[in-house]
Amino acid sequence: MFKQSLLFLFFFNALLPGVFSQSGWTKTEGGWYAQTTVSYFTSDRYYSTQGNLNIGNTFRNYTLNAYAEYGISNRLTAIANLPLLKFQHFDVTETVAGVGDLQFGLKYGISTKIPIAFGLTVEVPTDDGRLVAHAKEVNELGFRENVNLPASDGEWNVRANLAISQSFGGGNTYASLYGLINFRTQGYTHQWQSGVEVGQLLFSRLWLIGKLQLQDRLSDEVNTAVSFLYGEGTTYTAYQLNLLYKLTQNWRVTASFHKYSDLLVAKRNIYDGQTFSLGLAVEY
Amino acid sequence: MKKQSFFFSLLLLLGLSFTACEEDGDTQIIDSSQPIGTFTADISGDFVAQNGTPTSGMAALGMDEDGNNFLRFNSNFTTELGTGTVTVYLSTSQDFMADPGNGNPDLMLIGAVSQNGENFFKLGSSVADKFTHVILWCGSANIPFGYAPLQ
Repeated sequence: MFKQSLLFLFFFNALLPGVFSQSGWTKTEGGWYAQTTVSYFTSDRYYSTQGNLNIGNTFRNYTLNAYAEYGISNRLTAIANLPLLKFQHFDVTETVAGVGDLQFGLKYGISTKIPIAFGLTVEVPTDDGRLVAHAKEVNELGFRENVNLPASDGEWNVRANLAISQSFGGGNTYASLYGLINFRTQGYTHQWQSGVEVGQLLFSRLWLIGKLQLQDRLSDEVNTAVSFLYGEGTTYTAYQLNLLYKLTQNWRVTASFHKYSDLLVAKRNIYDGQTFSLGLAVEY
Repeated sequence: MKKQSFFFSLLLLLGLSFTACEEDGDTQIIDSSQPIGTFTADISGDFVAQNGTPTSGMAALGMDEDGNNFLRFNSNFTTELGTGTVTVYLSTSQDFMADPGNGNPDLMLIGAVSQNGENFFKLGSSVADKFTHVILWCGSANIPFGYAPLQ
């Protein structure tokens, strides 16, 4: 029972953008989990690839995300993360909508005694990375400026990760540690990510979960031959707080707050803002 | 039969008219956005990249042989164009100091960069001496892509 409770927690926590299933646990054969999440992000603070802060127009993003896991066997779990709809705009532009990059992966439980798992994920671009938003008004020369606000980065990614987890206190507390390498294509620099996650059962139905995540590039320099628009050289420290309430045996509601920081890795090529999310999950 | 002859004659007449137009081939189309004759630079400066853009090349203010003022980016000019419109401003400093309430006295919008490589921007009859820099600006995000001090 404790293990089952912990399982859905990890699946939920996997919903950070670009990172999921970062736990050592896998699904049991035939078991599945699905979650839909709506999130809102806003920021007017852009950090350049050199880490210089620019305060400019406010960028907003609304995302509807679907996430699912299925236990192919007790050791092998299939995963899909689908940003089905993204609306985004600057406060001076019209809103554009698109589908984010689709992620499909497999997670393999290396040991049956220790919750340690290796995962491999492929991220599939959904378009060529162009989604043009026009300015609401013409400028003083009489034409409407535009900006590219892509929902997809237009390139394939392959992520390999290793995660280990442990529960304590009769299953009322758990911790996970993971490391990940993101192999990018089309000349974008490869990245590494690492993170730690701790969860605590506060009452019989409510979990409080904290997560710390780092991302840095594997090379010393960014590749200036490719556009910074698609996350070239993006680095950060991020933290997230989640609340998960178990409505019934199978249904849960979630709420989370995500923010970037300079704590361990500096913010570079990133809009520094908060993400608020609400989710509904079901597990069988 | 009369009707057919009439239409045939009309077609012949039209055909001759178009042929005559084509043969009148000395017409020269002048692109007024481009300098006439040689462009001579008065002041110029190299671009300094900002915010991780690959901005480089040189900007120059000068005149063509007809006395029209132009801003020229040389053939080595490069910036980030995948983000959308990159506008070009003349500025009184390297910083983009917007003051729309007072008519933006420190800025003069020139146009938008259409391509990497050589670009010409036709200016008005005179350019105030106070403008000492060229700024490349992503207006939607309000982020500078680079500047060139003109000396």
